[in-house]
Formats: sequence, structure tokens, C-alpha cells
Amino acid sequence: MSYIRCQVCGQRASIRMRQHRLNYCKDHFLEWMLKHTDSTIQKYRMFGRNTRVLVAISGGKDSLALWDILWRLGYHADGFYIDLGIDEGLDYSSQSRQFAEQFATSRNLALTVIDFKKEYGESIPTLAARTQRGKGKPCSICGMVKRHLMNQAAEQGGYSVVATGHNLDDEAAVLFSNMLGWNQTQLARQAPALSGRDGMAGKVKPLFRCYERETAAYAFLQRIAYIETECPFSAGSTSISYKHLLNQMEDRSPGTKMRFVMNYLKAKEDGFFHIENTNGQDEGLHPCPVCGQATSNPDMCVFCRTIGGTPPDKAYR
Amino acid sequence: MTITFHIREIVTELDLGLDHLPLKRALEELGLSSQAYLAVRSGELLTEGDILHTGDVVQLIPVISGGSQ
Repeated sequence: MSYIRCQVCGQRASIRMRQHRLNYCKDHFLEWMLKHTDSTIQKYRMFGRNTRVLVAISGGKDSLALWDILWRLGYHADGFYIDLGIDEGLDYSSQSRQFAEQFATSRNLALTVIDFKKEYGESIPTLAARTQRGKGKPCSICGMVKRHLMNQAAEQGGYSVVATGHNLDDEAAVLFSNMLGWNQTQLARQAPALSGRDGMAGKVKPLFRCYERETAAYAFLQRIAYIETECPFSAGSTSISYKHLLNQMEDRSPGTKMRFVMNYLKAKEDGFFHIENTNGQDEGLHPCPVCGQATSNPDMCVFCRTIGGTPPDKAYR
Repeated sequence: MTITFHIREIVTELDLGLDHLPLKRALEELGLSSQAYLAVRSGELLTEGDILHTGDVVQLIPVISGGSQ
């Protein structure tokens, strides 16, 4: 019978990673994912063994795979889930929350859940509909809210770093978008690890060297239950169309996506972009007078301006 | 003779008049990127070199997700 063999044990391979010229069976692939992720954490000095890490959980494959990997590697990683109130007839938030809670319970891990609608009185779709920033574009509001709440949770919980499940395909799509527009500010910010400062937790992406296909394979082989349906607002998004384009190139020339991202990081390090060394963080920041988070806005941060002030029971500091 | 593919709730049948063909060829015929799907047969993850046979039922799991950073 013809099949590709695992290069470690010779058994039937479950995955072929042409960009690495690696073929592994289930067990050796799962082992490789742990080693590969740990190597990324060490190489980019994301965090140490004793660091308290807050993992941003969406209920999708990437964030749950990341949490599972960090747990198996023995890191102190707690989860943080935001119920955004996105249902749109699909119960999207309710279902993704269930997957996040089931995962945490099954591994006896700590998960903090914030119900945005309960805390702030309206769901993300409602907030987006009534604000200029979110009109016809709820993803912008959603991203801003998630960044703010993750940062707040990290500050309040004493976590020095927030880890997200962004994979190499995510990074490639964002890089592609930023390069199409030659967006220098965003190009400067794109990095696998951003160090923290007062009012802003560090942010790391331990899966950024893994293809999306690999995180999905990890979740499948590890039998991690996750929400497979996409957020109803992501349909037709440019990031997804860029991923399809990049995959066409990858099919023709394996390793294209990896070279695109890794060579960009090397070029940036070599000074190719003539970007001032701000470690990816914006300069000229000051604390928001309402919530205390770092902001470059002259007055309140964009989150506090958008929600119209902080609810009275929210003691940020 | 056909091979049946399930992509979430969508069912697609492929009949090229062949008894067997590699997964890579089947995905090409369906116009799908091997980067964008995991292929599963009888609970086992397939590589693009695995041979599909007439009557096989293959689940294709989309792996692409989107969102803002």
C-alpha cells in the first residue's frame, strides 16, 4: 500500500509539512508541536517557566490548541474569554463560550469569563451599530474591545503577558495587507512578541511559526472540541481572501508563507524598513484618565470614548 | 463510481471514472487547496499522498479562520 511514512518511526504519516520537509505520524506530530512551540517561546524570549500567562481564548482551534500546548509544557497559563454577544441567529458567542468552558473544566484550568453585554449593557453588534467606528465594520470595534479587555484582565490579574493563538497564516495575511498599503506604522508593530510597559501588558504569539493547517491538525489529533463555524461578521473579510491567495502560492511553492513572514522579520531586524526601535510599541503614550490604560489619544482612550465612560461598578485601579 | 466528500453540511461527490486516486488530485479536481482543509477518512487524518478509493467517504475540515489582530 502506498502512503507517506513518518520519518521517525516509519508508521503511516498523519501529516506532511512540505515547508519543513517533515512527515509525522500522530504521536510524533503532537510531540513536534510541543517542541516547536516551546522553541518559539524560548527563541523570542516570550516568557519564562514562572511567568503567569493569560491566554486569550476564543473557543476556536488556535487559542484552544495554544492553551493545551502551554498546559502540557507545564507553563502557568490561565484563560480569558470574552462573551461578545454575537449571536446573529447562530448562537456564535454562546457556542464558543461553551467550548472554552468545557476545555477549561476538562483540564481543571482557570478560565475568567467576561460577559460584555452584562458588564457594559450592550453587545458588540449593538455597540458597533451605534458608533461611527463600527458602522458596517464591527470587526474594528470588536478588535479594539478585545485588546482593551485583555489588557485590563492582565493588569488586574497580575499577568505580565497575554498570549494569543495567532498562527503563521494570520501573520502572513496581516503582513500582506500592510504591505499592499505600505502601512509603516502597522509594519513596525507586527512582531511575535511585544514587551509590556506601564498600563500595557506584553503580547506574544507562541504559534506564529505554525501553519494554520498544523494548529487545526493538532486540535483534531488531540481531540480538542472547538467552534468550527466562523464569526458571522468575518464572511467576506479581506484577511480570509488574502489567506486563500497565499495558500494558492503555497500550493505551487511550499514554504512561501513561512519565507514571507520569517524573512520580513529578518529584514526588519536588519533595518530594511528604517523603523525607529520602539520595540513595536507606540511612543507618546499616557494613561487614560478613566481606565488608566496606556493611550496615544490626547484624552480618554478609544475604548472609554466608545462606551461613553466606565460603568460605576468597574474599579479599574 | 464515486468518492463522497463532506464539507460541514455540504456533500459533494467526485466521479472521475477512476477506481482510486491520490487525495492531492481529488482536492485539485474539487478546486480546493490542500492548505485550507484537513482530510479525514474513518477518523484518520490523511496526507495528500494517501490514495482514495471508490466508495470512500472523506470529511474535509476547513482550517481557515479570520479575525482582526
